[in-house]
Amino acid sequence: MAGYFKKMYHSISTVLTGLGITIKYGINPKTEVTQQYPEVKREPPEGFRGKLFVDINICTGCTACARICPVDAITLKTVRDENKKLRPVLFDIDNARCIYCGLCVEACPVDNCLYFEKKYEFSAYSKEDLISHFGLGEVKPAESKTEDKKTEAGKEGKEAAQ
Amino acid sequence: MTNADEKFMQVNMGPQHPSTHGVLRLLVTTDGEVLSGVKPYIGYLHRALEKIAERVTYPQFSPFTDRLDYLASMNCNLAYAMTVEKLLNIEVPRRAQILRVIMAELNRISSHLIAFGSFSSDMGAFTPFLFGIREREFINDLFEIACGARLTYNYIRIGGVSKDIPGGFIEKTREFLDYFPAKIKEYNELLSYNAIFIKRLANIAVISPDDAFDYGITGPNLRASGIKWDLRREEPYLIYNELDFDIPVGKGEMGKTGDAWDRYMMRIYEMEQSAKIVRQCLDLLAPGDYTAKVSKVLKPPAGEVYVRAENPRGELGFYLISDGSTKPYRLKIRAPSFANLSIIPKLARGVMIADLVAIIGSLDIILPEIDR
Ligand code: SF4
Ligand code: SF4
Repeated sequence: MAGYFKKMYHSISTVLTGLGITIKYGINPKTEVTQQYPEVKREPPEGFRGKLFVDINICTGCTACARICPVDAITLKTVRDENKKLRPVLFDIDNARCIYCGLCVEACPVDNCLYFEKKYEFSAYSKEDLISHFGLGEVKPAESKTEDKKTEAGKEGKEAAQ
Repeated sequence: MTNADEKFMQVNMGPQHPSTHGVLRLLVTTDGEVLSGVKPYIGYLHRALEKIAERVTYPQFSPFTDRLDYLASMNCNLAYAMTVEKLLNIEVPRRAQILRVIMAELNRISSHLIAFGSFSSDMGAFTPFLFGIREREFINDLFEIACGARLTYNYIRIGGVSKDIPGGFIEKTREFLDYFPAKIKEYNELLSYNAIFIKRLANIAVISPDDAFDYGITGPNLRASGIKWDLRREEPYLIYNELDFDIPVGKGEMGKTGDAWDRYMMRIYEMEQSAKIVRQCLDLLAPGDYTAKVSKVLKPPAGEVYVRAENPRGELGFYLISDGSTKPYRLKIRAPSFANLSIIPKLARGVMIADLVAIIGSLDIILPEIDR
């Protein structure tokens, strides 16, 4: 009989200890950790891997980023301008495909050319709207018909290196 | 859904069941309240990661390892990086090794926090889940300032780590380590020694040492059965042999050794030990290189290696065959959860339906790693 009451006491006391902790957090506003998200937004720290951004004016069209991307999220097409410099006429990043791994950013040889912005809210109604277009877009009519894929662009880049 | 003889009933548990920790389908045969058989069906999260490995280069596969056990990405990154390094004979600088241990152990804590939290919510106590998530957020913040991501880190790379830790990281980590022990005490008061919780778990689903060996169980689940086996001690990698930490083993404190409560408690003890390891590593941290010199195009010699590491859920192994090209010829992944899952049919025979949730939760399986 004594054992029965002892067990009962033990059960009730451990449950009350647990409840005590819960109540302590419930009534103390200092312990609050929830952020009221859409109203209060959190500033991501330095180096946060958000949406990718390309400064297309300093991009050399070397295609290093497109070649390293493990999921082929970057589509690049380059042409030579009148000074024989490679220019990226098409530079699309598919944000729905990108896995934000950062390999492209590390591969880019130009400082502050390809980097992550701190943006993390960019939902869209259609899949196409998730593609960011950075390309210069000055395609000559003859070339615009063929849709160059990353591999072809990569070949061109290699030729340029030679 | 009734069987021909109408004594048994077959019911599907999952794939969309809150306590299957992912998308696991269990075909349950019940005899009233008692289970007469359980058959797991897996593959709902199959993404052909092993096949993908054959078509991407060695460094390109690293982000995919994040997606094996996504609650412990750092540990998966680490095991993969060590595999390729062994093939290439790369010596990792000391600072990088220490940083790797810090990240791996912090990730072990955050993974065990989820195990603790989700298990308690499976058992009907929701508050501890929120507590676990709260502390995990702290660790996620640490990882975020170190590498920029909160879940799929891709931080530990072939040769070292992707970048050095920024200023303030060490102070923040110390702050966490000072704050954490009080929280563990709170978890114990709240849940671990709660009489109802113990009654619910003690003597349930006992895994004997022999069974554990037969089924290839590893990690905390193996140690809960009383076997002191931890790769960080048995086959020390990185700087683990310099560190002072204990390997907790199950002693059957509340019932038989290797019961569900023991498995649960192993994770609480391991979190304490991991915190101890991180503290030592922070003291050891000296200036140096964060990565070895690794060429951009990796072309390992033809050959094969097997490397294993102690993940929060057990022994993660990579078996890698190289044919001398820039891409792996074959990569086989030994996922700890797969072996741990395989014992469920044995454990679940003859128990009550409600205990099945306790069995799955206490084994702490994770499906993306099983299906790969
Ligand atoms: S972050 Fe990774 S996935 Fe995204 S575009 Fe760069 S390399 Fe590709
Ligand atoms: S790696 Fe940098 S410079 Fe080269 S194509 Fe990509 S963004 Fe341009």
